[in-house]
Amino acid sequence: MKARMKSKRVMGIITMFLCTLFLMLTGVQSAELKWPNSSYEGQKLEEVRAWEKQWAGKTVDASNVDGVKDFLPETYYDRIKHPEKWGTVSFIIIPYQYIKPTDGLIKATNDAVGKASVDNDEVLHNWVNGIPFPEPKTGAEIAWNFDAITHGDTEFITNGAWLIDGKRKNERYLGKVKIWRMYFSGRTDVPPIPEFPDNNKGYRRGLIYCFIEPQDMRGIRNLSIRYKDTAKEDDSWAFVPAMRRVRRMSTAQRGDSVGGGDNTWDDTWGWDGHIRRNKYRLLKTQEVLMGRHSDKPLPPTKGNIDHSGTQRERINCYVVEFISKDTDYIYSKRICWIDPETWRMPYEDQYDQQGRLWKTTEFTAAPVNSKGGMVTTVFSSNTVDVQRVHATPAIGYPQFIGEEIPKDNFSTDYLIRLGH
Amino acid sequence: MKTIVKQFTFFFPVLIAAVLVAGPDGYAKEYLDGKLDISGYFENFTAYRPQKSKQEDKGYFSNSRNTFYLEMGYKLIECPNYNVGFYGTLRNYYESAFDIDQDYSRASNRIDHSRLRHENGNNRLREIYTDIASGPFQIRIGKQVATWGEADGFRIADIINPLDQSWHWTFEAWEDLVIPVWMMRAWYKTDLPGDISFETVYIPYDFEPTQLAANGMNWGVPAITRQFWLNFKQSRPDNDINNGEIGFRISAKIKGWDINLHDFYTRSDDPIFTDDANKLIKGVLLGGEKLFKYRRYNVLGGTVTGYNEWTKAVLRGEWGLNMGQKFNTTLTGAPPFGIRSSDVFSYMIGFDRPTMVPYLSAWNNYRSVFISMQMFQRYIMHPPPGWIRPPDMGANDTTLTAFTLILETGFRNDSIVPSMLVAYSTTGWGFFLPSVKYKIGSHLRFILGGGVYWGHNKTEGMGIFRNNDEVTFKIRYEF
Repeated sequence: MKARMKSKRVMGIITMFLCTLFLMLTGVQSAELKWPNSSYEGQKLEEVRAWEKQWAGKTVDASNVDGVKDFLPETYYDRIKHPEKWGTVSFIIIPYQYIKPTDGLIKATNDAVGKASVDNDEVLHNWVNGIPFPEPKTGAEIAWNFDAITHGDTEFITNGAWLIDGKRKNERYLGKVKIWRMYFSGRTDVPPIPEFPDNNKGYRRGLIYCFIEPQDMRGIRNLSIRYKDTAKEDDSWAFVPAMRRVRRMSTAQRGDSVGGGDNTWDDTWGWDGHIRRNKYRLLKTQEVLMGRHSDKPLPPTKGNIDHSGTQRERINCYVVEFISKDTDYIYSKRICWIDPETWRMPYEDQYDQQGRLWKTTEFTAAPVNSKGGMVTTVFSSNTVDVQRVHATPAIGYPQFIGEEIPKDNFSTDYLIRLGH
Repeated sequence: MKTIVKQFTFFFPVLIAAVLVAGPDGYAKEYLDGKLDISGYFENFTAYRPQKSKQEDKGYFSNSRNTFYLEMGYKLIECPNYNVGFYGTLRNYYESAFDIDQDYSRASNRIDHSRLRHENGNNRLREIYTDIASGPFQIRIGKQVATWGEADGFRIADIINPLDQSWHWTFEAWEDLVIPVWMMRAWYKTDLPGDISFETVYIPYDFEPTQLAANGMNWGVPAITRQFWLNFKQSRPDNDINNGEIGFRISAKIKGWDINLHDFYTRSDDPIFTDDANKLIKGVLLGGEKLFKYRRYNVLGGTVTGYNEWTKAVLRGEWGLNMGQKFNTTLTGAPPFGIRSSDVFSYMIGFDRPTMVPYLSAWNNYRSVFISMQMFQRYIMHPPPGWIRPPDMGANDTTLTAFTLILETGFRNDSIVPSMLVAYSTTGWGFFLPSVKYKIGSHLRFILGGGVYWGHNKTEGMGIFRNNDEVTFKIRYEF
């Protein structure tokens, strides 16, 4: 009897062990299967395809924008609806297309599922590379996903920008800049992965702006270094040709205008500050028409506040509120739409300190084949000051993505070397 | 009339070419897949001095300088192992103040105008050099500008190239004042901790002194008579191997601070009187003698900069020890002069801070105000008896203390950029330079500015120019 009971107990333990093992294995397997996941699948995808039969290929302007009003941020809808104030704007609807991440990003994400966590101070823990929260539940987790993506690890683009005065219906060419961006840690695609082995200074990202135009800014080269330590401010230097020297720059005023444009340094790519500087709240998910598959950069059309011709597709975005912890910050809040496939921010609204809508910023992207998947790059962006009816559109020409850049390029010696 | 026609025939074809090169939007043009780039500008700078001159009982135009500037860069070889490139700038100008204002023209000797009227000979090719870079090593050979300093306006470490102070003293942008010289620079970046890198500068023969305007011209130094001014050039050493200047610099990054140490063995850009009394008397009476000397000394110095998170400012510091700098001495206040040495220690501390000014932010769309302040001190460490002080120091002082403040912001998306520079010395001299830059469209820039200069007397610091208060206007077409 005793032996039978003992045998039953052993069987029970074995069964429990097997069940636990099964659950663990299936748990891991299901986590692996959950990312990457497309925005639309199954019945929802069929619904979207059915809607596209009616709308895909159509040009939307003030006359028919009401038909897609539910799929546009209210601020953008308002601008299309009132061309007398904002100028004539139209866009084209295209079918939704899934954007597959690179192999490196998929592997890094799946290898680390469930490991990362974010605390109440918005500090990320136990993360090395990849998307830390493939199925985010909170605004902070979404914000960290947005921050973790390295856009192919390296990028070189040429960017041109204008200033549009919507009241006077005139424009001024602001200039042209070459931008090199490279991640030193959190890398997923370009060796060394996940980090340069001798990254003793704790670099997270290096960024170089080289001004080509206008003539009075020509040759200015700005180097910014972001650190893994989120409590540490960026370091910045600029080679100033007028003085033939490299000068240390203050990065304190992240809310300052970039070169006189409507966008601030923090507005770059939607948000370019440390994640821990804000509090986040997931407001909702919203299906919106966003530009993710542009086939060409879109320059501004004279006097019009917005680009025309953007190719927009439906995507189910997270809508997250960013509120700065700095009570004197120039914006009282940002409302950000974040694409769950590319973790880019296609659209955001910025509110002034009195809580009034001040600016909106849109990023129109295009995927570029890279490392077994796709990396999106920003083709066009536009920051609109809705209070002043003023805009700063910019277009980007990607030169390369995911190719090696010598890490010594992100040094002051290199600024001097290139400087004249 | 002849000169106006000459001016027109020079500038008009170049203006047409520039307008054709510049598109409706673009400025700089890149050719050959971005290997060649060209940009430049035309500019007219006009200065009007409202106060009466010494010569005439009315004001006059002291500048109407028309400048053509062209910049070219060419990347000859770009490959992972090494890069070779060329860079050059071309500048010519025509100073028409002498044509516009006969009173100003008559205030100085007509023969001397040619030096200010247009760029001379080879100086038109301001810079021309080649860059060869391979791995951690880079060499730059040719006519160029080298700067080592962190201070704005005070020359402690920035003494490699001389300045042209003849046309608007030191109140223009550094790039417009500095005189490029033929030299060789080399850099080597090590893998040592602290990103240590080395730089060396060697000027084999090319010596250029500080350029000053002749007596009677607006920026001519009153104490320097025309005879002495002409003798500056005559006393200048010939361009030979004896003029060699050499410098060495080491740079490192330590705990977030950029630190540089340098040593530069140089020949002074500013002359002193010869100590040969016979030569001096003979030269003054009969001419043909070299009355001035450009003596050698050694400069040991360094700079430090870093960003301070608490103040949210970039802190800057620079120091220099001029070892064995030469001074004239006189026991009677008049010739004969002696020459004695003294070490001179100078330093600058300052900060740059972009700052949001709450009430201004509502006007300028949250554009920060750039605030830059500096304090500068110079100590003559062992002043010899009877030494003749540099003109920026007080009559009885062995120390100079000066402060500068720069403020700049932008309105209407930086299409309107007001700025001001104030300098003040504790000896009582100073100046105030306000300006407003206005950008119209893609190519045109207007700058309305002015200058107010003061000093206790006409021999100290900016006091020598205390009647030179002026209104300036600059128009620039960029392409």
